[in-house]
Amino acid sequence: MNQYVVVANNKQKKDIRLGFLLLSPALAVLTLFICIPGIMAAGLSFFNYRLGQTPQFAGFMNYVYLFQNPDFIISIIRNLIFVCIVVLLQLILGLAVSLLLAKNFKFQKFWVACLLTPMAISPAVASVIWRYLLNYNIGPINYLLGLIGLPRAQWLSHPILAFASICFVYIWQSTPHIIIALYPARLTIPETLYEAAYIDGANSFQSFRHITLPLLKPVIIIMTIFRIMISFRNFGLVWTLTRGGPNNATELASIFLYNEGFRYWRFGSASAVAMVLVLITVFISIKYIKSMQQSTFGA
Amino acid sequence: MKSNKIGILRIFEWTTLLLFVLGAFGPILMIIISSFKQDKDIFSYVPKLFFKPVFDNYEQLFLERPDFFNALLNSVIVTIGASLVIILLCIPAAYAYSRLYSKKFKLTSFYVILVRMFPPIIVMVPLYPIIRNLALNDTYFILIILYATFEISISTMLLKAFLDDIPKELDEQACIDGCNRFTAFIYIILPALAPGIIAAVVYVSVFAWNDFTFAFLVSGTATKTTPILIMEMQGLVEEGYLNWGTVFSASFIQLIPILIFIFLLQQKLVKGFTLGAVKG
Amino acid sequence: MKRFIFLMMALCLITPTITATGKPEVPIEKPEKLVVWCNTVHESVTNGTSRGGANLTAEFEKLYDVKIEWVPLAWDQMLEKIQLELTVSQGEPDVVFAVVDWATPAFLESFIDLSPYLKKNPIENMEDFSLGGINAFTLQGGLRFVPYRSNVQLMHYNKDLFDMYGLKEPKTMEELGEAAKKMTHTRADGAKVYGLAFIGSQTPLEIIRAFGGDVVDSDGKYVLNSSETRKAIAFMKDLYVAGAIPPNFESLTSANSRQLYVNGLIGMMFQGDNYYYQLNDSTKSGVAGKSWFASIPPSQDKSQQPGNVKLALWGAGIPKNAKKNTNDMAYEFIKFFTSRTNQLEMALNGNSPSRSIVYENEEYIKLAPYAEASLSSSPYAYPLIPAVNGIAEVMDAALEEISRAITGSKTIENALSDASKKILSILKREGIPQ
Repeated sequence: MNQYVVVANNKQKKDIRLGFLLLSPALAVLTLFICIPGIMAAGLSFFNYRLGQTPQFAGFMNYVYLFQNPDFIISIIRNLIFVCIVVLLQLILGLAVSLLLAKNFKFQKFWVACLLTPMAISPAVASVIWRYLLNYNIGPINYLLGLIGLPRAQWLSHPILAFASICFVYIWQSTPHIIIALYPARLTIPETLYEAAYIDGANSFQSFRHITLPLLKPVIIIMTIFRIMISFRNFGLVWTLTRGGPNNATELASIFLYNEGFRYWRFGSASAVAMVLVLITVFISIKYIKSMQQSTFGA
Repeated sequence: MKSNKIGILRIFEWTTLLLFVLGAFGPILMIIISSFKQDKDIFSYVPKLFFKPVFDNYEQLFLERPDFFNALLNSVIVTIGASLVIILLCIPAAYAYSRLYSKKFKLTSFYVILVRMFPPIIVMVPLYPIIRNLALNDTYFILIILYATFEISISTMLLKAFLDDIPKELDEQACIDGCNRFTAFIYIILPALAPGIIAAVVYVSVFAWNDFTFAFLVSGTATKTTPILIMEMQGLVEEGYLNWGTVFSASFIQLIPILIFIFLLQQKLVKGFTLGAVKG
Repeated sequence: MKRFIFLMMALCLITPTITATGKPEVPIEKPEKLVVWCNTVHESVTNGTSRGGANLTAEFEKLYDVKIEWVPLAWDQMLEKIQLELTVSQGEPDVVFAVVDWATPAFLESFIDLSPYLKKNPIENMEDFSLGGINAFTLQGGLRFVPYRSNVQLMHYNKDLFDMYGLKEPKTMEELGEAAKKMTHTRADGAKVYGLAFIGSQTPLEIIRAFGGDVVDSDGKYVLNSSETRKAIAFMKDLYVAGAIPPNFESLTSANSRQLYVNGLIGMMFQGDNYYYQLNDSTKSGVAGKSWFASIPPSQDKSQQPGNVKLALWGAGIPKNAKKNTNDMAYEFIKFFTSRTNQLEMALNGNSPSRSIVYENEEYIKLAPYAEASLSSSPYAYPLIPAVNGIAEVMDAALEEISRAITGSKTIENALSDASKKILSILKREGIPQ
């Protein structure tokens, strides 16, 4: 009786073998170039290590030291706030732009290219321009504020404004990353679905709610996971804009890590920061990872 | 009445689009304009909208930094290489996740995401001695592999999501028509996957094109990419040996190839769109 | 799980082993090339393209029959790259350039002690180099880097603004403060003009020095808690309250303050002497021809003239993990490029010379009118950051508290006592006796 089951089983076994074969190159590269060095770094977090010198075993001292340091705790909290604001706004903006672009405009390709430039320009040069735009004394933004009779704002040197500024510039720079995933995804939704909904009397919000959102959901979830991860250890932009100042108001965990490792020469402790960062990222993104896996592998 | 409403809607759409474009492109436009300015006009108190354009900066770039174009070529090689590696590694992986349904892959998919959570700079500390001892530094190979590695996770998952959207009936249909798995993939799935591939390729190429940290740590004189050169030029500006305008002109020139690339890729996007319509 | 733990432990052991693998014994033979890791500027001043001087690279290559491979590195993350390279068993560079701010004992430790070479094959007239710089590059009595490029800070000022308010070059810090307050005004176009540019990460330390104070001395002893420091902070706070320094000073960088200066929005600023060219270049500066210079003055209580100023300094050294057969040639390289004649040649190519004698050369003075002012400051110039382990962290803590005191978010006493607490605990952890 079980001939079919055997055939199916055989087929499934073959599928699994093929699957692992197809997966193995990617997994091998990831293991070699990230996982093994990553585990080595995890090991380093239990040592006192100055680059170029022999590491000394320190047990959990690096972690103890970190959690006794209020600056570290605050930088983690600050980082969480940063990630929340930035990822949420990015997603909303990116989604809005992608849906808008689907309406088809004249010179469409040109507009798309323009909208993607912030991620294509050299970040170092972009931060030079933003430092000038946001400059308190000679920045054009303050000049325009002055023209309409508003007081000048200390965009990069008032603690709260500086934090808002780095969020803003970060969103400016990274929203294109969302557009580049959501815009093609939106294009793959067949127009016929919307036409059918329109005939059924659905308004545009309803068709957004019941057609666009469910179909884009897998891509949105993936973008959420990766944007959380990437913005969680965003370094370059904040470093070039404010160096974590004024008075540590923009010191994110990644800046703390950089200072520990390369400026204060404590690599063990920097690795410990990295491990804490990894754990926190796993913790906040596990929900999304689970929901992504559910759609493929079942509960 | 109705056409009037549509007209208003259209105007609204256009205004929003132009606002978005202005917000995204405005600062870039400043960089481009600045590349035609003398240094004293760039960071001025009253923003100078009218000025006599000068081409000294481009002249300085062409005459004093011929290595810039070398670096540009290196960037092109590395970017194309990384894109190819991503395509070769991630499409099969995504296919496995999307089409060869098995719970056994669940753990690996978690692994693929988890691994990406290590901050790259920390990974580099143990990786650097290994790269150096294998004499891989200053080769295109290591740069290409590094860029591809750090984008594998996101590209695989993105491609998987796009693949999931392509109905399985399509492959089955093809199987009945006499295709095997491989030919079905090539002729049916690949064209429909174009938007996903474009997203993944743009992702990795923008990263490879703009990255400073990896390129700086791993490359030497032979494989120097443009971001490194632009950084070097910035250092020279601070010391007074170059103009700011020259740095801006360099970053404008650096922007052009990648924009053309994005522009051309969209051709494929429209194609993917029509093919995608088959499903429904 | 056990296996996993074992794997992790094994991997932890690999890292140190990679670091410590024995250096292969290479028989001493003449190297074919010399790999030099430098900042972009260092190469361009040797080859005479910039201002038409001699081509020293070619000269050296001919003289010693060896090829120099310059590897210019961007300033950003240069230290990281060098730090990582020092962890490799056999490093690529035979000569490495380092800025004096990096020269903590932990860093100097990775470079060869040059004293045996200096004994065998001395570099002429070592007394030309600024003593502050030589001390900073010395570890346990042995010199590790030879100064290659150096500048002292000068006070650059806008002559028009001085004339407008009938002011003279200040001779003391107190006069400078008064002048800064007088010059501060709002221009007709609404722009605010500040008397003194104030770079949050530097100027507070420079002013504290001008008053005779410091954060830690060259031995790592904590000295911030002094009456001189209190006076200096009170002086800065006074300028801040009077609006004579930009209120956003905490985020103001050196480059920003130059942008303000060339727009005519700054009366005085402390910058390296060689910025004189940029500030007077009519394509780069709106105040070209009106930017003058003077030495940075000390407080009126100090008898010395001029005040203690910041010394910026690049040196060349030989990493311990360099190929053994290149060490002798690397030393010849250092000796060649730091000799009196070649320092002069490079100065004419646009370098800031590390030897004081060059500042007396007439040809150079024609190029660099500030030479005399620089020369008179140079005996009192030393690096802003003393060569002590943990110093970057100490300086960050000190600057944070000082800027709190300046803006008035803490009283001077509270800020100083908080700074003491933080800094002493850092120094204790680094094992520096107090």
